[in-house]
Amino acid sequence: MKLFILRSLLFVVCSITVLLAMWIPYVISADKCMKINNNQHILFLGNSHIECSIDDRIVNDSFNFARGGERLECAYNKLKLLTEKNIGIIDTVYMSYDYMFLTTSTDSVPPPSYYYSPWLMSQNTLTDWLKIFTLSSVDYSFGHFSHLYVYWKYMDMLSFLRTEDSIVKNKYLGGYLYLKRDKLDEAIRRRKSNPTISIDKIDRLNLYFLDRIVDYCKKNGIVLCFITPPQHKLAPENMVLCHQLHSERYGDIPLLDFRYMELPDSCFGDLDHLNYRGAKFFSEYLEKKVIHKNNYPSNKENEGIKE
Amino acid sequence: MLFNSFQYLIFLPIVFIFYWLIFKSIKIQNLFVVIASSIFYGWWDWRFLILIYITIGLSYVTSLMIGSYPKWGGVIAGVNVIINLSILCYYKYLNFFADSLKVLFSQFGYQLDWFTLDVLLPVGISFYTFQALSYSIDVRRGSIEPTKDFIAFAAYISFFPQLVAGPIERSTQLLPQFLQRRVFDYTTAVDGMRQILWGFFKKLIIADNCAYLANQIFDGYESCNGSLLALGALFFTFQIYGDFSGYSDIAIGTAKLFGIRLMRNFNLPYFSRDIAEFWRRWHISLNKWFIDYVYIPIGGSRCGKLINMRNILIVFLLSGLWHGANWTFVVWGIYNGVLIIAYLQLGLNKKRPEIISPNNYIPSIKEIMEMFVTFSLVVIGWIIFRAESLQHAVGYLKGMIDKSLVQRPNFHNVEIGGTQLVYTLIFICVLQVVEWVFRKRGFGFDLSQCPSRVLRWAVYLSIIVLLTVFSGEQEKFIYFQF
Repeated sequence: MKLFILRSLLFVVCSITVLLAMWIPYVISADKCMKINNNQHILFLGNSHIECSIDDRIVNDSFNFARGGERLECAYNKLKLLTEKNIGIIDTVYMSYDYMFLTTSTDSVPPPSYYYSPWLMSQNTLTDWLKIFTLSSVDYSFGHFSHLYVYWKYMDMLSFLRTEDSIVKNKYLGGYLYLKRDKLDEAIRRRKSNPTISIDKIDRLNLYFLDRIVDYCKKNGIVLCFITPPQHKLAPENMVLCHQLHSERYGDIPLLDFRYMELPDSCFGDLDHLNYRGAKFFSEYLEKKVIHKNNYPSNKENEGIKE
Repeated sequence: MLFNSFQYLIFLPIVFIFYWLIFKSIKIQNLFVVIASSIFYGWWDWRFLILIYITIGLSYVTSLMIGSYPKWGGVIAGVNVIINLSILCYYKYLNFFADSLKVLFSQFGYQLDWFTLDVLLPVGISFYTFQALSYSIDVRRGSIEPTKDFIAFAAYISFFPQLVAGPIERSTQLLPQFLQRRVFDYTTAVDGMRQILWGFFKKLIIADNCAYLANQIFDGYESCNGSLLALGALFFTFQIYGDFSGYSDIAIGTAKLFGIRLMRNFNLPYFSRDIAEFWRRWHISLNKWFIDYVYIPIGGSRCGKLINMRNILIVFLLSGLWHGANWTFVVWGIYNGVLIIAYLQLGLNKKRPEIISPNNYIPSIKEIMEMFVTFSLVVIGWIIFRAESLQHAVGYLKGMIDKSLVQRPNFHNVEIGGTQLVYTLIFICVLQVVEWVFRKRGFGFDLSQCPSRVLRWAVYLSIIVLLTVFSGEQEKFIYFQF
């Protein structure tokens, strides 16, 4: 028995040593692979809604670093990491602001594996960790460790060792997703057969990290805007909580709410994601009429896009 | 609690240490197994515990009554079977039958206002119900004496490694192990650890990666061509194998750590040379259960060809229904029954040795052909099994069996990364090769005979690295829903 326990412990130690050694390439490469182009001073962060909606090849000087399934913890870490590794470049951040991103609806889901890149995880302070464990579900908080090393994907390692701008090219941590999906009809069918939506609350951990993002941007002189990309008219009505929160807590931060912007059905991959056609229309709209003109229309002023 | 969760990583060593180092008396060990199993199971939802304890209590009391009143044994066992099956049906099948009747009557213009229940299906209910039933029936048949030790009996039904997805153990095999003193055996424990590692390889690398690819293709099947659909079916074929046999390996390995031997649940099913052989190698514990408690009691193969065919169909129909409350499972069951009957009629079902090609490195051409045909038929069955509805299954099969089956797969409308596709295919090949090489052992990757410890450890560490690098997103085990 003692021999078994001793050898098991030895095996665990060996395994941990080998796994820790796998962090070395990250540590070595962090500086060069987190570099963005000097002209990319506009940063988009958020979940899949932003990931699929904003084509950063169309919006000049921008970098879409959003990723599906993301929560605000991850967005905050990305913001810190990119600004630290690219001092003085990023001056404006557009942060996803919608129901899925802010509420508890994703709290019970273990986070996606890419969260655990050492680049991102190492950004959390002790206080952040305490908040993660006290304010989120067991699945989410412990999930950080159950997937601790899952991030280390084969091609990522090869690509970041090979190229300097791999984060931009390799979209594992985030980037514009050219969504080919065309499942709007199916989503409408499902929505009609199940019209009720669960009413979630604003997630306390997300709120904590949103406050951290707001503070961080203020301290570093970064302009912060909230943005809600268009969703289909049949998508569940879900902005009430978000608007309430905005007016109560973040009234000084502009909210670009395009939730109800009129777009043809062909622009949607499903009810709440734009496909590549929608992303093209929406990105062009942002580029021409909003971003570089500081023209922040309210929800009612959206003129919509006709095919 | 999932095997592939952080909670389990903490839970298992704690239980192991308490079990062997602190609780040395057999009764206390059994009690501890029951408590640990309750924590393990209650982690999903504590309310599930009520049901499992009803099943345990009912089976325990009725079996004691069978022992005390043998004349009434049949009636008492029958009552127990009916109550246990009623609980199972209530949670698993009531909505299915209510909905099916609604649809049926609506075809004739009648709108039935049936109620449907908003109930949560308790994890693994089919597994522990069947295990409890087997005990009652075995007591009734006189195969085993009813035990008076309630704690040992509760440990037998609720033993956490096999509680939610089997193997479905026989009372004659597992219960006596809880009634006798267990002694720690180093070799068995190390063997268990190896099997757990291999189970994680199957689950995290094979099943979870295949799951992502299969889900993408099955969800977007309307826009895929035949060859891509075939690829999707192949991925699901290995997903379900990696998922379920991986779970079984982890369960069997974990049980070995506690000095308990569980039965083998998978024996290289995808190397089978006919359908009957496939069913002797796939989910062995469930199929043996159906043979012993359904097929043989209704006559088996002893009452003529026609009755035998009927019996085969009944067994596979029930097996399909056991897997879930959906017509796809029913049709999948019938499909397998029909295949077995067809093979039987054509004289293709043969008694085969347990080890395939024991004296050769590779199988013969004839064996390869037989394996290919059997595998293809199994894959078609998995398409029906995986589909969300019969319409989905038919649409998928129509799209697949098409001239585009021999064209290049079109990835235009599915979100699949080329890298993941390639390494998943490579790992499927690795799995098959390793299992073939180790086919004479208890499980793939049984390195117990490798003399060099350094080499063994190097292989183990390599697997750990592979697990960390190539694991797919965490997916729940498919068979939990059954």
